[in-house]
Amino acid sequence: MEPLLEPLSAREPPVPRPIFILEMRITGALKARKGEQKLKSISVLVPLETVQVSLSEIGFLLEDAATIVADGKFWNRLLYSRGEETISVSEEIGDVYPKDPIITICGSKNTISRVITGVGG
Amino acid sequence: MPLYECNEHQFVENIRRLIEAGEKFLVNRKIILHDDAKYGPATLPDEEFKRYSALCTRKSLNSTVHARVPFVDAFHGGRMYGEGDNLHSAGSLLFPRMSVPYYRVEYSVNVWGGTYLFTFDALFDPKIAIEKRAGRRLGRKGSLVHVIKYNPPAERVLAINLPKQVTVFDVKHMVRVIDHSSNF
Repeated sequence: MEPLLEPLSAREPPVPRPIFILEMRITGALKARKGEQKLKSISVLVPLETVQVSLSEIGFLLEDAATIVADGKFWNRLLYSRGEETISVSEEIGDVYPKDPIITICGSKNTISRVITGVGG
Repeated sequence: MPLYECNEHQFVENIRRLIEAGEKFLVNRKIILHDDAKYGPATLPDEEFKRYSALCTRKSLNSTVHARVPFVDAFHGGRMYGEGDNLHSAGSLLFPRMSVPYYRVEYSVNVWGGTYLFTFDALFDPKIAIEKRAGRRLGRKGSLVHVIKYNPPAERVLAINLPKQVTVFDVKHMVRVIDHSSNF
């Protein structure tokens, strides 16, 4: 008498449907793109407060701050982070005109475009 | 080999262009502690000087700084300053008696025979407290006195945020080789 179920080893491996392969490829590409970090530095003619509000709106929190001296000028360097994404904002100290904070973004493409839009870029 | 100085914006944008061009490159970083009296209280901008206002006073930027109260500088081996002491004279701004230590940070990248450099100094954070100290001027039993300590800035705030695919090497010193081959 033959068994009702054939042994597992005797079965043919399931042939993946083409649509399934496409779904896997798209999901993999999206995951890779999500984890991919881009770099961008912008200098904007907006007050630091506007930059800070924009960053907090998209979930970036102030991590640390330091006073640095570059190009013979004193700067406040602020570090913001959200998960693995980081943004540093350097603004010159004192009553100088024009105030143009330098924003350095290391994050996803989406974060970069949201920051640029948020600061009116 | 030419050496090009960049500011932060230029340096980061140059690295972004190299990444997008698919170039292979390495970023070198040098962080060294300096305590050479480069920064004194008289030359600090008002916003930064406010952090020292419990200890010292001045009329304006680049004017002479005097001690408001007696205090001990714990970073410089417990150096003691008396009330009214001249801490940084307007007549010798290059030689302050009270100075702020700092990290000299240098980022550089070598591409196509040229070195692109971004440097900055990160000042240490002053922390002022009142502590009981003993000594020649404070008596054998000790007395309460203001103490200034300097904390180094966190490394994460000194770092330029770079994507994971960019390798950063820490170095002690960069030897700049002069290439005379172009003269022939």
